[in-house]
Amino acid sequence: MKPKYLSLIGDPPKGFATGVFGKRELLSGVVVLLAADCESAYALLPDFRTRVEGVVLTLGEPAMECVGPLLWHVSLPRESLDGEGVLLEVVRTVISMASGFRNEATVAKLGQERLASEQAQRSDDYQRVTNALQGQVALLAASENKLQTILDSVDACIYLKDPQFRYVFANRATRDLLRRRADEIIGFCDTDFFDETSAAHIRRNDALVLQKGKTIVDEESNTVRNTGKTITYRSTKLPLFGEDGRIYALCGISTDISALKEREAHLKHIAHYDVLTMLPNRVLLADRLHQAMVQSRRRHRLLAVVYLDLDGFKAINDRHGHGVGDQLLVALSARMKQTLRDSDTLARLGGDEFIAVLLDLSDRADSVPMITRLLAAAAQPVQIDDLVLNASASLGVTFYPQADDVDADQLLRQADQAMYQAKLAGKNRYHFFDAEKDRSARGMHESLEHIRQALERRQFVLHYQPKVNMRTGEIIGVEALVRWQHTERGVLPPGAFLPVIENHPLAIRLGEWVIEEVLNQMEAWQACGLRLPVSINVGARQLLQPSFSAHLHDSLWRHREIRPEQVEIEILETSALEDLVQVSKVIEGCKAIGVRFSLDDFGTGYSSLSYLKRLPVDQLKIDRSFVSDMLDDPDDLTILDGVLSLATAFGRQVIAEGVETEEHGSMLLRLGCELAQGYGIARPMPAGEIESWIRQWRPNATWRTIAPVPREWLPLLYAVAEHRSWNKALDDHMAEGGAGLPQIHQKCRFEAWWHSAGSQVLVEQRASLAEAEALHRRIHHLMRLCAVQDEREGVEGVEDARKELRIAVDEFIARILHALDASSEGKDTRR
Amino acid sequence: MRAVSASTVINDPYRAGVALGESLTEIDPEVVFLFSSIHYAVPDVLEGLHDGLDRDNVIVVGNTGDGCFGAGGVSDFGAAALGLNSHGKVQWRLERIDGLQDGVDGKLERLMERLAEKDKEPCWAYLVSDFRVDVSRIETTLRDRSRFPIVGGLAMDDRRGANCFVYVNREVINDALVVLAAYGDLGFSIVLGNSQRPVGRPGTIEAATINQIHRIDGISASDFVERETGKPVLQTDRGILSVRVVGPESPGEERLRSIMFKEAVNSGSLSFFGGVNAGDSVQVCQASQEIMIAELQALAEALRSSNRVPAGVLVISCTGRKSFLGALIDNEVAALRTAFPPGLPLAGFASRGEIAPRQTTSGYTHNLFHNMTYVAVMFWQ
Repeated sequence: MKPKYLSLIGDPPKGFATGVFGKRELLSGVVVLLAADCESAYALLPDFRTRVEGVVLTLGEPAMECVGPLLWHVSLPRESLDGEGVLLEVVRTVISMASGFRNEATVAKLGQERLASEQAQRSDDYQRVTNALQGQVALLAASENKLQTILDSVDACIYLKDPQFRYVFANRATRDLLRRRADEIIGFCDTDFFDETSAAHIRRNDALVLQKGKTIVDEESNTVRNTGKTITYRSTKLPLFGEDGRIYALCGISTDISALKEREAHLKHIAHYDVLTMLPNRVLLADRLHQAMVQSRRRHRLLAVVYLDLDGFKAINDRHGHGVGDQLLVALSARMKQTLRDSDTLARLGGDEFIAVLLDLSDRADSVPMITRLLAAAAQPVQIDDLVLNASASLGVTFYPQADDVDADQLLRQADQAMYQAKLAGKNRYHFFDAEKDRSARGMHESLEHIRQALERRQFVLHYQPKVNMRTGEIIGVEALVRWQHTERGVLPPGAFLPVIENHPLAIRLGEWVIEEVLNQMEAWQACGLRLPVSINVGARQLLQPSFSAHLHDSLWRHREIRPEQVEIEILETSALEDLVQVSKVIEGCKAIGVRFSLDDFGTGYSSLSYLKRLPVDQLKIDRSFVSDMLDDPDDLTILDGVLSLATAFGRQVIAEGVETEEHGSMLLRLGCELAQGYGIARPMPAGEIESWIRQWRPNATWRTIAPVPREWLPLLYAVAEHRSWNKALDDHMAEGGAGLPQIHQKCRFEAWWHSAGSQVLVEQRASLAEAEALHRRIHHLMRLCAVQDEREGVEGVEDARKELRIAVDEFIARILHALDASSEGKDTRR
Repeated sequence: MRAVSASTVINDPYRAGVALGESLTEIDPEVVFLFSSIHYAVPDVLEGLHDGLDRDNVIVVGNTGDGCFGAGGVSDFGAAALGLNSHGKVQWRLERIDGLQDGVDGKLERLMERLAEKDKEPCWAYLVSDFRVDVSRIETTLRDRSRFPIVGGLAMDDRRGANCFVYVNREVINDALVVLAAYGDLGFSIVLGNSQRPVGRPGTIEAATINQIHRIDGISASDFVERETGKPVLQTDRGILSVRVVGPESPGEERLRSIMFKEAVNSGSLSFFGGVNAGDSVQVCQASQEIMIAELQALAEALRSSNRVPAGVLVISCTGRKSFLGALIDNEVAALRTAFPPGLPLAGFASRGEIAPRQTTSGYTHNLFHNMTYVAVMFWQ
């Protein structure tokens, strides 16, 4: 803005403008207003003096006065104004500067006022904020107190540590643990409170938290209280992060788990130890036994497992009560434990049963002293109150390792079995387990299961062996024989499996199946026009079932087409003798419905004649063992003859088993036995082959002609057998390199007969035997020669004589048999 | 378009006006935007401005604010003016409504209708209102009724909240709303900056009334802010903590809302400087000087990169930004000064709420009411 020189008076000095002056002229910049007097100037604007910046100039003596903030009244002579006006210019300049200063001052003042106002506002704000903060702080303090109260009320130790491992907070539990006040903890480290080792352990995990940011869970540490008790703490430690992501503290929570640890130990103890005797229990025993077995194998040493059962304990318990029984157990346990080494284990299974595991034995004998001591300890009297109790123990012992692989359970079973044997043997003793016996028992156990499965899977079949009259050729029936069509072993005969189930309920199941199957088959044959009696083997167990008769009756009722007389039950002589009375009853019961009975394997039992009388059987079956050897065993022949006589005497029918050759059949016929079965007649065959076999079978032609030998000629049969036996014995001597020559009696059976009953025979009959007699003499000569040659030259020297002897014997036998057959012609000598 | 600006701290309003007017005469302006601190709000400043311009045929519009923005910087005290001369290419029209407490939305609607008379709609307008008005109504009316960019704010004093004035030609008025509309070929660009750092997770306003939020995501507004920030709303958060709101159907029209700390509501509701609506998404934000300054530079660079020749720039910035940035507020002018050749004419004021649309790829959004926002209108030659 330009300074203005304005004049209110006419004829102003040079440079002054005249006119009407308003705001624009008066307020825009510094003004020098020439007026007659100040009032006339002031009148131009209402607030002239305060707003105009400049000078009100009047003419007169030099004078100057301040009339406004930036307004001066200057009086100057007119003459001084006509010049350059330097003075006024100076004044104007000064006023301009002052105006500027005043502006600046005003701005500054306004700025200061604003600042003060803002400061005041900020003070207000500050106060409000402070009040709010104080409120918040109060709240926080209250919250912190609350938190502190809560943290102090918990039993866990809660603490904070800074990155330098110094405590910055410790709750009451922590203070109690460290036995310090808060000010004695805050700022200090664990090295100030714990021993070096414990502090180092704590510091390791703290470092992981504070330096690596890890969270440690389940850190366990121990500390020893001043009482000497060790306290176990479980701690969780976690890092605390600030807003900048840095770790600023560690927060730890430690809980006293001593009680928990004690409970754990107690539970562990209970889990592994017997509460009464404090001996190891089954669980711990299993572990120790396993370890012992491993060690035993590694060191190649034996270990013994001893099963110990107190004798008479039950009686003591029953008589004196469980309290006394328990005390006895405790006392005996302690004594027995003392007899063992530290490395051995004595465990209680329960009740009065214990197991001892003896390690590091060089052999079985090594265990005997310890076992003996155990026995002695168990047998010592025990005083409980005013009672003196006596017990003893039965011990079963097994060893490991064994030939077969066994595990711990098997060892215990073995020892248990052996202990049982000790009990059976009289108690208060020990018994070693027999592995071999166990193997066969196990084999049997396995077989039972297989047999049961076979029954369920219908693997059993019946084969039938024909029974015939050798003389007439009549087929008198068949015997049902069970076979097992084993999936791996093929067709198994009864001997391979029946003994296994002999005393087992399976025998009954199988037997019932056989009966049912036979009756079904008989029905099938009948449908084809074949009425064939069938004999069924029934074992003692089945026969002696109370329901056997009823069951058989029921089966026959269901198969009503079958006549009971067609059914024959074969029972073993030995079975019958088990319970003669019951067997007789069963037989009677079955015979009442028409069923026949046969006594099988007759001659093998120890039945007396009275037993035979009491058994109401219809038929006797002579055991094959007598038949098979009768040709060359005069004793068997004799027995056979005796059996036949007995059977005849008691009116029982007789059938011989084991007829393997024509000769066997011939001999039986000569003895008067016509009925037979055996491989020489027919092998057992499936039911489907019976019909075709019956159609094609013809008896041996010779058999039809052989008649029973008269009784007086029977010794010749014995002689035949006798001479055959000599031949056989000589052959055995030759084959076995000198087994022993048969002893030839001077008077053999032929010799005896020849000179006794033989002398009473008809002359023509005797004449037919003359050649036989000559041969006989030669036979004896050759036998003597053999003996001499054998003695002189050994077996090789006998060869020639033997050949001659054989020829002679065969010729002799042929002549005798011829004579025998001739002697029975036309005579009814059947039995 | 030609522009010139001047600023003064001459404390005498008339003298200041004369100084401003004399400075603007060089371009013979068609319109003059006059902004001043409250101290100048007397008719003398306008008389002086006119006397300085030595013309009466000039439209003067402006208002008091929390200080003023000039080409040299930002001051708490003084006056600044920006004169524009479009050489007749732009036609200017001044409209006003008085009595803002009574049906302001209706009055504003009619004003908008007047502006669009004869089927000719302004291309741009400047709007200033007395701060003592329900801005939510202004915002709603502007949003619904205006289809051209409007930039402006609320006249205020030096943050005392006691008084304010609007300049209209030779009058100094209040309880009024004034709009200067431009018609014709006015080249301009509006940039807007209010970036803040989001805090926590956004929520949805469940209950709100005018400028109060009652419930967000099932909890009170206070609890929501406390939950997301980790601490209660405190006085110290004034100017620092805001919320960014956006309606579900207009995702590009985000606005910041500052919390009215002096009007704490015990029920947990929070009051804001501006309208809020139920259903809007709300995100708590925290002011950051670094983010604000970086944004100013980016905005200036964006204007510069348009490769157009600037005439002058009008700046309306929130008084809250002035308070938060403190001495750094000068960056709101310096950024433009740095981006453009020296002598860029500039005038503006610190407002108590800003009106401006957001720039889109195809133009501008609805006119929105903002807090804590910097608005610059660059007039191109």
